[in-house]
Amino acid sequence: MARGEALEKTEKGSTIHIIGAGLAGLSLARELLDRGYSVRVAETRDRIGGISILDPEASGLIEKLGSEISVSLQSTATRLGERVAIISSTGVEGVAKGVSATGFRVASPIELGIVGDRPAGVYPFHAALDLLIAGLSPGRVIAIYGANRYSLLLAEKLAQHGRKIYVISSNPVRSKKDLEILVGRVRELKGSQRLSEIRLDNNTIKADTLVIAIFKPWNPFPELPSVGHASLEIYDPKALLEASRLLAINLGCEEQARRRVKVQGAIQAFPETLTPCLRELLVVKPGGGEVWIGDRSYSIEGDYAVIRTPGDSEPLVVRGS
Amino acid sequence: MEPRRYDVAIIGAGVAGLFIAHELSKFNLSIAVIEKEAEPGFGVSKGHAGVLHVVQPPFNSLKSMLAVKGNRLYDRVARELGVSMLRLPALLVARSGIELAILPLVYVVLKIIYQIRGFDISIVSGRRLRLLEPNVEGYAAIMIQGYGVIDSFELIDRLYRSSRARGVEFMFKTEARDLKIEDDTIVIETTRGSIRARYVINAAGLGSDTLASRVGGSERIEPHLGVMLVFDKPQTRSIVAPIPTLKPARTKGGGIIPMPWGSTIWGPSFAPTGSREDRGVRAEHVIDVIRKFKDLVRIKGRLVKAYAGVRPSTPKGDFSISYSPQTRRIINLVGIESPGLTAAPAIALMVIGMLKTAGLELTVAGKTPQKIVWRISTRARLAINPSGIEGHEGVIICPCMKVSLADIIDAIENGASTLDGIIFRTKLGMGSCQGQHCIGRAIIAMLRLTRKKPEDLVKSGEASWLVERL
Repeated sequence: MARGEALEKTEKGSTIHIIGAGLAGLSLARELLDRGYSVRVAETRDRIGGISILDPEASGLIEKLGSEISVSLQSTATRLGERVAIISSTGVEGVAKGVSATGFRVASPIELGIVGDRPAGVYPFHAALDLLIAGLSPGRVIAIYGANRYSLLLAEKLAQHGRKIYVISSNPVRSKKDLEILVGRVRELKGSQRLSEIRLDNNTIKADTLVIAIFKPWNPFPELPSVGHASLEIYDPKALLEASRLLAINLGCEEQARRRVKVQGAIQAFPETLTPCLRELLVVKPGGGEVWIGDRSYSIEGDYAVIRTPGDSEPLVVRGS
Repeated sequence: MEPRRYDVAIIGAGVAGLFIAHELSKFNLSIAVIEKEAEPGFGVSKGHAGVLHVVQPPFNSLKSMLAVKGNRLYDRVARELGVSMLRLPALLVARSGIELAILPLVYVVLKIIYQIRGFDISIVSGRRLRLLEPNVEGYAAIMIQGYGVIDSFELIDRLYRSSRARGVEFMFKTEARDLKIEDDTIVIETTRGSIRARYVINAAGLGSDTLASRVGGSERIEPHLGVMLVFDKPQTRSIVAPIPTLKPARTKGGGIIPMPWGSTIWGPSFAPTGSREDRGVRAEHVIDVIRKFKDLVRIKGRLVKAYAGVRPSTPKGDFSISYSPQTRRIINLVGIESPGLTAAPAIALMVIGMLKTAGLELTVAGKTPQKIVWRISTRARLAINPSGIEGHEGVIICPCMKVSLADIIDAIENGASTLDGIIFRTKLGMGSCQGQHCIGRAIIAMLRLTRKKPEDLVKSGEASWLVERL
């Protein structure tokens, strides 16, 4: 979640480094450029778009933002001692002011309770996507664990290329494109060299590939504020754009350092602190429903809403019904 | 034409075989190393956590004696080969009133065993324990000096490269199936034809007993599995373990082990396995390890990986390093399990002594070979001085472990032919994100750099294909 501390007051002249050129990083760059800031976008891969690259609802916007904003490709943020730096083929540059737009982390097999063999053919989602974009398939009979916007898009694309696809989901989901969806949890992998069998809690399937597409928000640079999937588990590109807009307002707030309100609670809300310039909060409630901010209740339709907050009571508590 | 006859053939390019090759290569000898897997260290050595042990129970065993000797040789080895190594103590921690009560008794017993072999041992009060190890929970501890943690993959890579530079010939994907004794020659029947040598060292790890039995050996390996858990952050500065009690445990020894590159390993567990091919992680072994160590330390970082290593244990529980009953020109190394890595430099010296006794003439090579200048990894350069990082060094493929394209190119140029070969040499994918940012890109880089066909790329074994054309 965003920690405003590192960006107490952002002067118009200073450069803000945005780490990651996915939809969140690019849209934040656009918002900040519009507000007169100097922005540098660093992207570790040799392309922009992050995991939204297959998303028909986002690809047009990504292309447009990519043509407007200059992005340093193959430029990787990493920690050098106490500092964050960006490394590229032209050298190493320290980050004084930055925002983490580093995207989701893919859950590892052991944290999902998957045990067994460790054969070839088990890929985190991002690796499978990188292979696909390079014209490679991660396998022949491919199980994708996790049913969400991104995993279903990858599944459809691989199916178009003639691969047999299973989508494994712990909750029942419907697929538009006739994908075979298995409801269950992956428990154990079998295969001495290449994956041969995936054992679920209620089923066993023969597959040579498992793509793990269960995502967690994760900011590898907690001293920097974060935006997009680095801070929110949400699967709607419009929500990412909203979050970028809110963070841009916060970053630009002259009075930020003096009067900040912390946002707390069990419900995902963005950003983590509110400044006097920002009275809106992005609240995530998958499937919709009622949420409370302080002592007021709001009804959310869809998976999220941008809510105008009641005032500057400290701290601001967001909770479910 | 008579096929070539080597002076010495070593079967197995694990840490034991490589140390023997490395030491023998200093003499005027023709040497071949025959390895079943695609790369050095892909057998038993692959599962090693890199701990340099001190004394090992049973204390008067060959393995304990060789571990003590090997441990002392490591500072020189690490310097000679430029391998990252940490010297650190082990802390045996008392966590309950009962454990605290038996601590003095355990101390007295251990003091006799350790001190006599030159390892300092002392009692650490609760207060000092908290200063030394702020994350460790305990009332007091016994501290034993002299342990170490080494980057075992780097060690294997450098032993391999230094022996190769001194003329040792390596034959990978070549499995020794049988040994035949002729007049003054041993014929090794392999999956790729026969190889002849005057002397043969059988350091074939899990396959060593089968091979030894062809020439009269009677040892039998009963493989055991050890599961290890990897956390992505440092937790302790020392190796930390609970104080030993008489309770039988499914974890054998093991501890909380800080890795030279900043992660932490818990384990290993210890359980028999029926199959020599089995490297499966079982849920109950994961639970055993968690149960053993969870109350010992405040967990830092996330549990990112569980993996299993296999030990070529024998029922006797000791190393067996002996001449074949049929000829002194074959030396069998059977049951080289933990602390095999620690003992390996001493094993090599012992084997060389045995070869000499068996009649092998050892004259020091006349020409000193060109000294290898080991390349400094991008990660190490970034830690020391980031200026001058540019070009391929600046193209970071693995952000967590700071592995650059230059590191991958170097690994491939120096013998990595598989994805695991690259991973072991560079630590690619071994950090917090477990490969999400690097595995796909590394495969793509491998394709470009090796000009192989996509279907020919493998993880480690020949059937472990990675990708195909879309």
